[in-house]
Amino acid sequence: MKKKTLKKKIADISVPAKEYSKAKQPQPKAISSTEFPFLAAPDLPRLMRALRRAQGFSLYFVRCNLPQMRQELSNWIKQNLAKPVIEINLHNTPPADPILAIKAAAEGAPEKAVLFVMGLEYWLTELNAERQRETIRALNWRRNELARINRPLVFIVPEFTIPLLAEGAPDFWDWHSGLYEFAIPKQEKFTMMVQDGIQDTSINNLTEEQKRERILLLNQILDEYAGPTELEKRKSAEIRYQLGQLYSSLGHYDKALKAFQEALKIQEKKNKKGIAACLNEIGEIYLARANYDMALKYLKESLQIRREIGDRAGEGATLNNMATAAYARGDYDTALRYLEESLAIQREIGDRAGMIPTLHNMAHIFWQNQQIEEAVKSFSEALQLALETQNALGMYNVSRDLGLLLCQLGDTEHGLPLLRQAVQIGRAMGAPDVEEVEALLRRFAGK
Amino acid sequence: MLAAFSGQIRSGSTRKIEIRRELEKELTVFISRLNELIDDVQIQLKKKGWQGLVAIVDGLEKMHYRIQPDGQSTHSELFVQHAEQLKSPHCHILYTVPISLLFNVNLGDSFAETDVIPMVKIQEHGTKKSYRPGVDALYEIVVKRVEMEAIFDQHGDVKRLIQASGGSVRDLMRLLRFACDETDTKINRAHVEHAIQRLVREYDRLVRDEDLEGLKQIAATQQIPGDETSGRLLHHRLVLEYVNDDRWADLHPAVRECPRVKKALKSPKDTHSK
Repeated sequence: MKKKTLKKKIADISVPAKEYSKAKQPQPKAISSTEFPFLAAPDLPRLMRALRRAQGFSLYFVRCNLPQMRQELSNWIKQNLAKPVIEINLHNTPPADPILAIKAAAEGAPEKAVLFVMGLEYWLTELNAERQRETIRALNWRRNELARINRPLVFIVPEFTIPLLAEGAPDFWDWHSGLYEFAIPKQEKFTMMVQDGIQDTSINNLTEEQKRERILLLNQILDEYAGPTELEKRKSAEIRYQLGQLYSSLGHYDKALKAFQEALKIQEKKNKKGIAACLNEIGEIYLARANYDMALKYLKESLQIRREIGDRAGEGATLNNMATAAYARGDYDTALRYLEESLAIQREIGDRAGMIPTLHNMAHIFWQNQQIEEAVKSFSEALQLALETQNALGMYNVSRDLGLLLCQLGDTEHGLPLLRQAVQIGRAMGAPDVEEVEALLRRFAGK
Repeated sequence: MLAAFSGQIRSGSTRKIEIRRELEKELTVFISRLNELIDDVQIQLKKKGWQGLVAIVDGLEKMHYRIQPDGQSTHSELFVQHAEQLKSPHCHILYTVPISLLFNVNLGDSFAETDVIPMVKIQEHGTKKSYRPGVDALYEIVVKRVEMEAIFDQHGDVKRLIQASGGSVRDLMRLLRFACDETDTKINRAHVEHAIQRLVREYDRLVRDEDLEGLKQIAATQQIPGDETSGRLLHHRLVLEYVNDDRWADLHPAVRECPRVKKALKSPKDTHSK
């Protein structure tokens, strides 16, 4: 099989990676969107009507995953709602009990006041299972205490808190009059990279056409290993695993899921490494489909096995993927913790390929937390590693997102070449979201 | 003793464990003291011409559901294993129990009677024809809360909301609020449909992939199989239970509209194991 990978393509583009770390320090306020992306959300007028009409106790949930956007939204409503708004940030009030904190803040509130509660996610983060359990239980059992406040109560929360409340505190949740959702603006959506923790990165460097050829070939070979012997089974599992990876990289998640599940089924019991790898891949597919509960279920199973057998690279990779799930649901504290753990392992064992996604993902969290300096630094290190290890997939992801960040900061001089590089690599490897990158490039280049 | 406990029961979790341990040790003492108190109250009541005492213990249905290390759920631990203690006070007692429990174990063995407060029946079992008395009753509830003429374009829109609620009053109220969120003036059919879509989205969150098989089965049989998962389905109102001549169940209309459920209901394959 002739392998003409994308490697050549990468080498052709000279990326002055070092310059980015020295790039003029961007001002955080430059990124703070002054145009309020949530103004276009269909749920905003609904929420405003509900709040204008609300009297006495009623319970509302506003779902928004970006911390900064939650604050902006709260500020905007405060200015535009003709009622007094009292904002309570539970993050700032530990170690008090959240219900007591809300009650204290509501004390002496004007009759028409609406209470905004932020920071409930702090009490519900996975990092502290005991606190999470106690908080959920308290909300369910002591909902009457909140009702006695006799004012409308608006919880502004990230996604991960919603299923926890709906399932864990059904009686509390049952009282809600409405859930209002504010999606993340499209351009913020390129996000995290997943990783498999398998040292073979050859698939990452294939073009789309090569991937299709390989799929065809593997499917043919598969028939030859349909027999019942151990060897045939092992081979068949391996092939299916590869097929799954190929399908997954092309965005064919149904086919990929099927391939991994079949691989898992015929995998020998003693091949723990292979089993863990399959579980991790299945977790990734659920991540791609935004089914985070299922994703975490598989990832945790994978993590446990990888820890058991001392597969350090695998452990780092799965931790990284778990961070992606936490991040997507807006639990940034947990996400960052997993990533730090992952990066420490990868640095220790010198897993440079594994560090690319981890650094990339950390950069995203810094970005969301408005720590722009750290974000650029992490992205730059990831870019440098992608260049050194000739990793096309890493190159694509990092140059796409760092390019976007720099362009948003007004540094199109460095941002545009990165976006261009991303488009070029993305097209060649058949990345599912390359059209969006093209649109971004047009937007920033057109100015 | 009672007063001393209730004062402390809300403080810290380790304290709670201590209290619980203490209670279990002294349970018989506790119950006999409680009965002394109740007996005394009964005598006082009879003197005043009352027949007796009924205690309503509300809120136990909110009990945390967890499978214990011994494989038993916290629910059945209390209501089955400790049924004798629950029945020991010298008066009539009404407990509210988690609905899931009714299907997991035979509560009838331990307790005199179990009653289910079903959803309001709005359609006939089997024929799916609208059931007037149920619909009218829900209509009355809406009329009592809003000025119908001022808010709705046509009465048919209210009927549509009622149908979408599946006979759950809580969901009907939520749908009503959702419809009101849509407009500053009168609610029309489009607003009503938007409101229903919002409810569908909320239920879509609660449906797990592993629920699909069970939902499919219930949609087909209109009966609730007695296993762990159906408890969850009932608890979150993904499945609604109705009682008239017989007991039957169906998917919440909003659950029926969830894309994944729709797809699963259409697919002919009956089993699809992992």
